[in-house]
Order: sequence, then structure tokens, then C-alpha cells
Amino acid sequence: MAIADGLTTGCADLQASGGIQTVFIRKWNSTGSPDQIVVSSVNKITSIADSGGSTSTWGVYETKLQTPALSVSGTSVGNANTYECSLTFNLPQLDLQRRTALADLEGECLQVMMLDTNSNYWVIGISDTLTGGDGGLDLPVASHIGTRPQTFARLGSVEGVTGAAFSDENGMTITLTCTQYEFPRIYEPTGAAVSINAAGKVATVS
Amino acid sequence: MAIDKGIAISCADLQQIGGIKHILLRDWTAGDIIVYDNADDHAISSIKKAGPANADWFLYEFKSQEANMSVNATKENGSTAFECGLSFMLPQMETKKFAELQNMLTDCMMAIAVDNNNHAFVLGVSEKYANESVAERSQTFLNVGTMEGGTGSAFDDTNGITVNLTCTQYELPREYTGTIAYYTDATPSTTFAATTT
Repeated sequence: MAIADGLTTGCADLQASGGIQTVFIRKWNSTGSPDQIVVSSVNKITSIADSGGSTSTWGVYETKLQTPALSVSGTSVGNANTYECSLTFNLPQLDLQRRTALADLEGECLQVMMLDTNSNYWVIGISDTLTGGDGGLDLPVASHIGTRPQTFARLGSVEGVTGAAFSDENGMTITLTCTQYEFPRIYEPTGAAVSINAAGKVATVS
Repeated sequence: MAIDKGIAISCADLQQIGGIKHILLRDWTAGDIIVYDNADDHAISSIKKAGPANADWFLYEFKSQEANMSVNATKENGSTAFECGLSFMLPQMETKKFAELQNMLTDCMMAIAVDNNNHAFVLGVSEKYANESVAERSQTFLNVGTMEGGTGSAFDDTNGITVNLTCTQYELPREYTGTIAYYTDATPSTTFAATTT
């Protein structure tokens, strides 16, 4: 892609706010069949769907306010641009429910989406550059090999604390990591917008 | 052949990316038809088997960034030998992978290694010092050189096997300039078949 024009920085850009509102997580190929990912040439993901369908199901993870943060560190060598991405969030109060939720993430190849406080959906674990296996040959349609990119997100680290004093923090901090070879893409659906069910724990993404 | 041109290095050349992204393997089969392109390139423009207008290949996936092609030349008198290697790592040892590797042990193969700059290099198919009357009996084929693997011992050790395929040719590997069609069996692919024409 050539450099065709520059960038403007407007008032709204300067009024950007920090933080993540909502974290969405699902497993690659969670139905046992190839996921169907549609990426656009302008660095977006426009559809994430189960095999043969038009939508996918995600877990919605509520977190302690102002704890989730996405960080992206990129390095460029030749034309290999490596982006170490990590999403950290805190789940307050150690309990069985959270411990089980953590176990569900262990050893899994994950897709992670997060809604920032500027209403952008960022995605890590789904990319279309040097994805390994087939080099992203078929990711856009996912009909053959899009289930096996090696640039998935995964559980990186967990830190759980009860604290000691009554006023100490009790909870766990989870870090999901991903090495990809392009900056995380923004999800902007061509279909229906992201919808979260009444219980607030399951999202449907088109 | 005399030196007839120089070589320019562009910005894109300097921005190259290391590594292999696709490995395709097939056995030499009776009636294979190879078209060498020496006009202005060191290339192979067509690889077909007898009968149909294509040749069947199979795609071998591997752990990302753990595959490479190597070329080492030594010249002695007027003969230059190129020891070419193709190495790739298969994570997690198990029966399906071993079955395919077992099939390779006695096979005379050819490979196409597509690098991350989209150059497809052919190993095990060469023209120089071809002492056979038909292509299928080429003696510069690719074959299994070594395998090295293990389970590791610690929980976070690597479990897998690295396969090293080798061939000795008497010319540099040629670039395949024809068309590769991937996943020609079905959707989704189950055999990871591909074809060249």
C-alpha cells in the first residue's frame, strides 16, 4: 500500500480517553470447524463467523474499572514487523467462578477483542500477515487453513492475590499475549453490530 | 555462458523477510515433465506429471519461523556441487505425522519451498549433469537426510521433530515461475493437496 496522503489530528483525537470498556474472548475454531474471518485491505476485520454461519459467539468478561489495558510493542527488522501485544485486566475477588473462567483459557488458542472507551473494537489473535502455517494464504475465507494461524492469542500470565490487610486487594490479574506481524486490526462489521445478551456474559459477533 | 549483466539491489531487496511459509512435497513419478527456463532466468516454468496437465503436491505445515532452506556450494576443478537442505519442525509428535514421515524414508522427492518474499524455490529438480534419459530417473532428487526430535523433559520443553531433507545438485536451486494451486482436494482441505502446471 502506497503512502497516498497524510493524517490530520483533530479536536476529537486530542480528547481521546484511555482504557478498555469490555473484553470479549473466544477460542479459535470453537465449533470444531474452520472459522470464517473476513479481513479488509484497509486493516479491518469485517466479519468473524463460525463455519457455515454468519455470526460467532464470544464470552464477555467484565473487569474491574480502569484495569484493562492493551499494549502493543512493535519492532521492525527488514520487512518483518513484529508486534508483541498484551491485554491485561483484573478480575476482582478470587472465587470459584473466576477460577473456572481462568481454567477455560488455559492451553487454548484464543481470539480476543476489546472495546476501548473511544468505541473502537480492537482485535488481537487474528491477523493476516505472516500468520505461519500457510502464511495467511487462506485466512480471509478460512475455508481450508484459517483455523490454524500461529499468531493466536494465549494466556500469558496470571497473578492472584488475597492481600493481607482488610483493605488490600483481592482478585486476579490476567494477561493475554499474542505475537503478530501486523498491528492489531479494528473490527468494524459489515453485518450486524456486536450484541450482548441480557445476562451480559455472551456476545454475538457478525 | 559469459557474464552478461550486473545486479541491482533495490529498497525492496533490502526489506526482505526471512523464513519459509509453504513447503510442498511430491514424489518423482514416471512420466514427469519438467520445463526448464534458461532464457533469462534460472527457473522452472512447468512441472507436470504424465497425462494430466498438472502435477500433484502436498502441503506440509510446520511451526512458524522454524523452516529454512540452505544452499552450500563447493567447487572442485570444473564441477560445482550444491548441497541443498530443507529443514522444518513439526510440533507435537504423534502417529499421523510419523506415518507421513515414514512414507518419505525411501522416496525420491522434489520440493517447492516458498519463502516469505514469495519466491518459490525448487529442490531436487535440476538440469545440469542430468545423466538420465528421462526426467523421472533424475539422480539429483531430494531425500530424507536426518530427523531429530524428542519429547523434552520439562513440562515447558518442546515436543516435536525436525525433518531435514537434502539433495545434491550441480546448479543453484531454480525458482518455480508457474502457478501453484493450493487445496485442490476439497473445502475444507483434508489432504492439503496442491497442483503445479
